[in-house]
Amino acid sequence: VRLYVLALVWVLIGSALYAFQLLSRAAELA
Amino acid sequence: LLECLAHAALAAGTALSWLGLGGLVLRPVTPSGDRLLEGLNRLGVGALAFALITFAAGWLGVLYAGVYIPVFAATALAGVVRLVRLLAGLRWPRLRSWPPWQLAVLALLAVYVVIDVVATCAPISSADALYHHAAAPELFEQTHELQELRWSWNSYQPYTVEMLVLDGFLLWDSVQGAFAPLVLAVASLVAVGGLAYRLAGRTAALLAAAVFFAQPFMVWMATSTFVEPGLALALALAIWNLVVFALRGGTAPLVLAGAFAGGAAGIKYPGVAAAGLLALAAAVLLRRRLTLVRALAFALPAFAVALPWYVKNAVLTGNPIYPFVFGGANAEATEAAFESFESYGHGESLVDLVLLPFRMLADAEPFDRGEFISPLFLLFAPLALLVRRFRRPVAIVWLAGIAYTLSWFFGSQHARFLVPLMPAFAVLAAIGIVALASEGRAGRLMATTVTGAALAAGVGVSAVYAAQFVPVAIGAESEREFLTENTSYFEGVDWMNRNLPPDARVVVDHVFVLHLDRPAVVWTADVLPTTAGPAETRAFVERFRLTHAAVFAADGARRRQLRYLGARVIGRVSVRPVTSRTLSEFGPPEPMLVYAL
Repeated sequence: VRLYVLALVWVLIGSALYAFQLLSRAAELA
Repeated sequence: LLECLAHAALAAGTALSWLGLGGLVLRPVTPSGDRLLEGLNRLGVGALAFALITFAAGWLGVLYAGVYIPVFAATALAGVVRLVRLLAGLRWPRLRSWPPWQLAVLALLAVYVVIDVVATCAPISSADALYHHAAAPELFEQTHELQELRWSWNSYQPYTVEMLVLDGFLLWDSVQGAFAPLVLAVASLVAVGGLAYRLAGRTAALLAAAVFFAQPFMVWMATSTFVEPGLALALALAIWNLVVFALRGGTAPLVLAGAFAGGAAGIKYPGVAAAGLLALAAAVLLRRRLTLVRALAFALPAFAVALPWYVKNAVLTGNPIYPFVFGGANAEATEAAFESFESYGHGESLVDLVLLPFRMLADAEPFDRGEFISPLFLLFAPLALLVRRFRRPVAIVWLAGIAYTLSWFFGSQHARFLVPLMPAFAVLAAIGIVALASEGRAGRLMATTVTGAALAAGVGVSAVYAAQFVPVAIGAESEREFLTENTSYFEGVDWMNRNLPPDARVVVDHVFVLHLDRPAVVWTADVLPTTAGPAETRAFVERFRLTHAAVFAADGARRRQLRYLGARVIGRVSVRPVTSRTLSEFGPPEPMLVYAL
């Protein structure tokens, strides 16, 4: 269970980071 | 549009010719019963065989369409026969029974293939292709033999994919040449999906294929005459054959795995590191079955496939891995090469290393378009460790991947040099997505939402990238207009095409020479250091029988050398660099001077 929670946290943090990259690039272009 | 369709049809013919030749080469090998792998093995071996035959033909000076096309036709015919045999009695997937999301992923992959075909139909405009990936094959085609491109150290890298590009030139033109890497990319898509299917079933197969192929980065790789799709295919097939050996034993899978690992080493220098680490990972995983005979069954074909390129360098330059370790053309050239490596990424400190995975997700632009790599690799590949039955092999793959990434980190931090990792890590990511989705409601929600969102964002970015190629691909924009908008300094190239005598031989102050219709030498430090004096400069001009030069007005060193020659200015053209093709962004215009020598 602990590993599973860790995995969820990693995916959450990682996707937030990627969303930040995507949105900041989009904002740059706009 | 018809021309684009004809290119695509000939690309399919090229794939058939690889399949046909591979079938002949692998005739003595007993069929394994896995028809998909058999087909891919034959296609991959055929591509390697075509590359080596083209290489040999280049040494013999017989690079003529009249020689290539009959071979192409005969092997394509053999390929049709082989394909019919492979497909006979095959049970096709029953798409009607597939859940809607799986059909959507399949449709998405089909959309990507269409995007890639359209983008490849445009005239070549990628910087590295204009410099050597396509420019070198064009030179070989025009002179009917292999030449040394003394001005480009990159051209001393192994040239397996460039030989296949050259075959495209012999078949038709530069665009046909650019289709060779695309065929390799589509084959690697099938290989990644097939490998994941055999390991973990259809769900994982579709996800692995999507993680690998349905990303803007792979659109860029597959459509820009890069060699990386070849690396991906070679490594995917080496891995798949090693998996077959691990599961069923036999010598043939080891020989094939070795041949493909050698194929990777014969495509680009980083392929040596990837192939070596793959061999090491396999040796660790299969150590109980490791014998000298088995090691040789892998290593001998690997060396046989890769070695010609390194022997060629040793013969021509005295350095098999020119210009590394044993020295390049001169100090200035070596410095320039290393400078180009170090101009990417965030740095090489310990902090940079720790931040690397986070930067790959949040700030990957400095890795040369790293922001277009799918985030799904990094998000989900670690989660493959959650699956107990895969844990040991996954851990070894991860260790090999980390070792490769370290060599990349301390070498050259170009995102595209990470492509060798993508086949294996796409499979791991797919296993990770499935693992998370099967761990409760939150896991399922997270896995599906994140994967769906990443794929949706990816197809949006890919569509924006590919849109620039549509008008020229369908004939609504002229090639000249397209090249002016999409290749740096094309105004100067165009001026020279229209004004220089047909027998001119030009030395050019930038690397974008593919579309220059006269023989061209790129004026790098490799051919003449900027500090060279009058005698050396005159010898350089004589050696390459140069008649004209095109240099930037601001390049004081080269203009001084032109003064040694008493060269006179015959043209002054305002040129501009393209900083982004997709966004139509240009650098400031600058004057370029054309000299008669």
